[in-house]
Amino acid sequence: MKKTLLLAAALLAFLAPAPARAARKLRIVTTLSDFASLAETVGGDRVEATSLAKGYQDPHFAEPKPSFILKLHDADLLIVAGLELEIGYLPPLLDQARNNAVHPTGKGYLDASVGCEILEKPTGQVTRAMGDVHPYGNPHYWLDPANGRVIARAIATKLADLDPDGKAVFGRNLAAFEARLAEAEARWARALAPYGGTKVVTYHSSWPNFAKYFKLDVVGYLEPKPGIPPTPHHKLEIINLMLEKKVPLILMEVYFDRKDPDFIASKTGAKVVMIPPSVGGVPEAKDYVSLFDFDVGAIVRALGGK
Amino acid sequence: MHLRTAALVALLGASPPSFAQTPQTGNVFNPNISAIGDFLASTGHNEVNPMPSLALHEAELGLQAIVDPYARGDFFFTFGTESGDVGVEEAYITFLNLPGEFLLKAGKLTGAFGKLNTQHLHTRLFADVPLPMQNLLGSEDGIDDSGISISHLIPAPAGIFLEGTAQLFRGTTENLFYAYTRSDVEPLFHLKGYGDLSESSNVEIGVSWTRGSNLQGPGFHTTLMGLDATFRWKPLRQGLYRSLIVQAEFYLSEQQMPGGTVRANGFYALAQYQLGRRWFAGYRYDQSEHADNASLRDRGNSVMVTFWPSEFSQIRAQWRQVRYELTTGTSPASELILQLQFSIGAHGAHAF
Repeated sequence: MKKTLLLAAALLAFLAPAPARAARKLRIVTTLSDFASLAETVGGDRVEATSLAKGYQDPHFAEPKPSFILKLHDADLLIVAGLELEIGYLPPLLDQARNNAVHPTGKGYLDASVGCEILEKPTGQVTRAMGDVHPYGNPHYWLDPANGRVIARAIATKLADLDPDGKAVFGRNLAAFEARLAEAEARWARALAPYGGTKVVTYHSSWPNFAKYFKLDVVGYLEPKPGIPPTPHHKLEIINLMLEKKVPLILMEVYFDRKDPDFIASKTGAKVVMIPPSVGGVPEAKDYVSLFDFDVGAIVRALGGK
Repeated sequence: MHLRTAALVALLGASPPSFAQTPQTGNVFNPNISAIGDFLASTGHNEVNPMPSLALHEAELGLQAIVDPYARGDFFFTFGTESGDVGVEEAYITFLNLPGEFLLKAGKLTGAFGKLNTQHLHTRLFADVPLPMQNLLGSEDGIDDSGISISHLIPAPAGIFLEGTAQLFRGTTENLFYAYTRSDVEPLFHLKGYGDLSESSNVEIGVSWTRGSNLQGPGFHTTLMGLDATFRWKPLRQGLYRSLIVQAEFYLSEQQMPGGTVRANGFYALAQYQLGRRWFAGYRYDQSEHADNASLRDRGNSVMVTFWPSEFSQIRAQWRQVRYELTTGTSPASELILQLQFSIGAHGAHAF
């Protein structure tokens, strides 16, 4: 009996996680590449961040690959978009990760939507007759630079909690990021100034925060309902709507098929602008600021500017 | 009585009892509830294992929630068309944070025997199950029993996911195992390896083993071994429109019978290719010997097309041709099966 107990104790000691080394970088896993970019910007060389979804992939439909379980198992911090964006793949990964810290109640969990301006919160009854709606509001909120600032601040606070020695570094990095963002915001405002109120049609409803911030007017969607691909009848409706309202632009995410937008553009004379909604969606969108540089530049060029 | 109420009110001061203030808290802790219907229609010729012309093959009710800070609970009840056709498909607690990073499940659960055996009906790629599952794992439900399951991640080279699972079941599974006494428990072991080949493709390989008392009588055992391999491809940028799954499983059954041990094997191989955002096509070849007579081997071919109107419903057509071997001769079958599946409520996402 004593022997068995000793053996069990030895086994437990062997299996218990090794104590964290002080010099080790904080390991951050994010669902979106945008959060990984912000975490690297704020964390500097005290962190290493990887994202589960790539910037050129539909963030609703990442898959629960077992290799992601390994990443979550080793993570000190998990940053999610929340609002049920990740509901299709993250819960089974967390259940198998064997890492209490990154569960929603753990100290290494950050829901980036907290404190951000969230649009399109449904009022009244929500049913799936509306398509794939998000009952807590539109989860594409990171496409508003003002929300990006909120997220960066939340990350700085969280990093300081997890790595108190780095607090001053995170504060400096955050201040540098905010200065760079403010400069960029002035640049984007100048570039888009002639095009305020431009009417656009978007493929999926990924752009409400983007449109609000950059003063674009979204008048319709290629998807008849969120998650339902364009039907012939709906395409006709959109063509008529675009002709009637003189819509010059179709905004689409890089992971959708160009065929339908190109067809509609050919019937309406509008231009198709295929832009990434996340960092890494195109090689030029290297970080959170250059993502908007690319997207704003593409829109300005499509509208005839430079 | 009135006096007592008055005393209570006096005790509580001016405010009414707290339960009256928060009538909605009961709903907050309600589990996620989902229901999934599986409707089948079939036509054609099959004398061995015919499906009904029209049938609500199964309705699954799922109730899932966090139990407490230590565990989550998952219940899946299934209902068939016949009266009394009700069952607990799975009902188990999962302890997520045990010391030593073990994952422990207890309750009724599907055996971790290969891939298909762990999948609920609505996650399978074809409307029926392949012949080796029907012939060697007892029925389309496979190994599904009361027991405990413990799994652990095994250290492996970077990027390789290796997980070992050990399960112990009571030892009673339809048409396969029967526990005559308390000691007729059924151990089951599964080793799963997974690796990414690139960001768009990956491979999973598994081996399984189990042994239990069989239906021939006390003292007779059946040993089952399984090998499974799955290749998946999904280019991330076009992931909404293109994907490929190739999967194969091989089962070996050793059934002790009064006349000696029967060694029977069977396998299936399938491929599903995504044609468009909502369209999938697939092919499956399956063959299997009979668990009680290895000289008889059934062979089948199926093609299918699946259309998903949305994430929450799917329509499938499957053309199935089987050549059954019976002791009295062969019996060819060819059938068209139409399947309609529909899901309501909040159904938890499935593991890969």
